[in-house]
Amino acid sequence: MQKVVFTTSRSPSPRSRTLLNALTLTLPSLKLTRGKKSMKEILSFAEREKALIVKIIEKSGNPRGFEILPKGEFLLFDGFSVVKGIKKLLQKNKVSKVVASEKEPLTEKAKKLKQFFLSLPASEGNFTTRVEIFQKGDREVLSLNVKGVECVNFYFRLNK
Amino acid sequence: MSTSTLDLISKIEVQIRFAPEKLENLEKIYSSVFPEFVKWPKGNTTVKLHKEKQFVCAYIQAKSLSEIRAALNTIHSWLYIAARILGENV
Repeated sequence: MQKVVFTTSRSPSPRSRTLLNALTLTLPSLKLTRGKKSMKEILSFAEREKALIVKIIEKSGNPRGFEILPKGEFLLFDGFSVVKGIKKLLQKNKVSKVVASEKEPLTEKAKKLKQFFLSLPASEGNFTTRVEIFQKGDREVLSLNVKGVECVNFYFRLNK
Repeated sequence: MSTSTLDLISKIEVQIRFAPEKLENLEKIYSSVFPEFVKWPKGNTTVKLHKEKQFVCAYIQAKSLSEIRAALNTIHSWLYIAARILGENV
């Protein structure tokens, strides 16, 4: 089964690190602290183990999307927020799989991101993450819910 | 560490050992890190990888501390990435 490993660029901004920690807790995935490791090294291992590397990309210090390697595909979002205390909520338990509500997103970016989250392979764990879609003002929100708590919200601007 | 004169280091030997949480990952980590050693040695550094009971061991031999440091950093990176991708808690 293909594993998904989240990582960042070298010297990531504090917001990128926050997002990385929140995503690895709320999704069935692994975290790779980047340090001084080169992308070449990481990708050569990933190729051998058939793992997907998801790199958080940022713009002016703010996370703006994911780059899926070795495919080279981009998934973008316009903003995000992370709730405090996810670690306490999960209490060292892991998330086993991702399910989604039937509501389809309006924006193309949100659709792609939802599809990606749903494609994540299931692993061992006690909790299930639910992907919810709703609108808030002029923005569409894709939310990762664990135990009814909106842990990570991704925002997408609606073009009217 | 052996010295030919008081302040001149002639040879440094270091061995690092890594023990995975799950024993079944030992072989996988060893086999995934091993191909990287084909590109070695760099300069005067010699690196040898082997298995020893529940450990993956890397033996490094170099002529200066900076070479040892460079080799240690690289080997640490390799072992860390391999272990992390296999789901080890490093």
